[in-house]
Amino acid sequence: MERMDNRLLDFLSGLDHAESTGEAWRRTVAFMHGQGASQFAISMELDSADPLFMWTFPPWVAEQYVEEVFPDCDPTLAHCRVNVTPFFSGTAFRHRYPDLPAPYHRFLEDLAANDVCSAVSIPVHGGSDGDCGKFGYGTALGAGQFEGFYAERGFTLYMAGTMAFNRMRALVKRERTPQIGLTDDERECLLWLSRGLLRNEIADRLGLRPVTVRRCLAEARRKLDAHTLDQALANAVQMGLVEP
Amino acid sequence: MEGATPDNRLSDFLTNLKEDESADRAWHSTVTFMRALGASRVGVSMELDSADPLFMWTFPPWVAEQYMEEVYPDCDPTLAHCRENVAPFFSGTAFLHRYPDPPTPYRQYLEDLVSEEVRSSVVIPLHTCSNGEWGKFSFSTNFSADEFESGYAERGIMIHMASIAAFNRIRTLVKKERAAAVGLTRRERECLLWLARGLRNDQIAERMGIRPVTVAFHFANARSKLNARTREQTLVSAIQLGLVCP
Repeated sequence: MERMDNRLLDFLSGLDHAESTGEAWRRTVAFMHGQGASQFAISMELDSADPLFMWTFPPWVAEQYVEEVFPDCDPTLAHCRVNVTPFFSGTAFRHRYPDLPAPYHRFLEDLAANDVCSAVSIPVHGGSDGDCGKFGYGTALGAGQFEGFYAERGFTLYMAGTMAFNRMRALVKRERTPQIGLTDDERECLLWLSRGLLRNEIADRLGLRPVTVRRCLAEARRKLDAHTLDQALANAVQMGLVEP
Repeated sequence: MEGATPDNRLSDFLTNLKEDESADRAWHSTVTFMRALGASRVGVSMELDSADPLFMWTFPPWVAEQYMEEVYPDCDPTLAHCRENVAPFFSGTAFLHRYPDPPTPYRQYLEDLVSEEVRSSVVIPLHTCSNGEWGKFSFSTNFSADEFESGYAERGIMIHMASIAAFNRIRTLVKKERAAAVGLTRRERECLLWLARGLRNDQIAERMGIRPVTVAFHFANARSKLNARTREQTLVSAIQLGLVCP
């Protein structure tokens, strides 16, 4: 059984200190290289309209993946959507899987040209349906060597990758939200509206005039680009701008 | 090309967990697994955005009561840690010397836990994709700090991985159960969905081929089922419970 070593614990506390996605990503890549990875990748929010990919591949490999492989021709993605177990891929494992889609086949060869012959994709599930991501760890090893290595170090990769994924997802959310630029009053008005207060009750609680509450809500609606205030509220809750 | 997780015990646990169809069953599988890894007590707490925090633990009721009355939420340093971090936190009387100034109620609580075979614990922060939803998992033993740390070096990774999976599964099931308990009809949900997408009552009526008064009727019923004061609160509760996904 693998040990929980200090390198892993240090990596986790380093993640806690990373205050931007970029920094968390650099720490993760450094850790994974230290664990023998030639390339590393994280994909999150795969079932949303706006999936996010981070990887150490050269840009042309990444572009080709997004254009030709994602989402329909990637068997690892189909696997990760419904499973919690890892999936081995790369040219070293290709023989186990006779009917790869042609675009994925080409992608594996591009990876091989970038020192990835054997890779493992590990699913990360947020818990609700459609809340799915994965991370991938690639090496230049052959299939047998890779499986031996994974049997020895797999847990460390599994855990480090999962934690990196979680930390980065939180940072991504944080970095994506503030662009709306609600003022404190606007946010407070939305908050109390979501908690079931009427307009005049919000005014009383916040010590604002009723007309100011109306103006704040109208301004929030405009900033959130919503047709109605109900829609603005729904958007704000989903973006985490308001935590009822 | 599908591989097993590196240890069959964990694989088996993850597979069982996936098949557990109620939060209670999933919790039961988790407790069994953690006990096999040496836990004397285990607990999970979830701060879900739809409602009150949720606690599941193997402690007797008096521990839970004391915790809720005197420690939660302001005097529990593990909560403050877990909200912001992913690294584990070591707790219990065996680790008290590392934290020079724990709040008195928390220190008292840890001392009382000794009679429940809890001297050393690891508290694992758990995070989700959803904003504002997080939790923690505690794995406790009766070991000294040294014994605990060597056991943790051996099994820590497995405990972490299992606690993440357990949290995600239990959270999903709890949310499903809470949502189902509200009992919104398909029509009520549809009205709320269009409301969230920016339609007014008359537009909703037109789109659904019903009269505006029927739309208002659906909103009133949804409001009472969700125990909300206003239409806005009804909508937000429904979103948080996952009954409406705009």
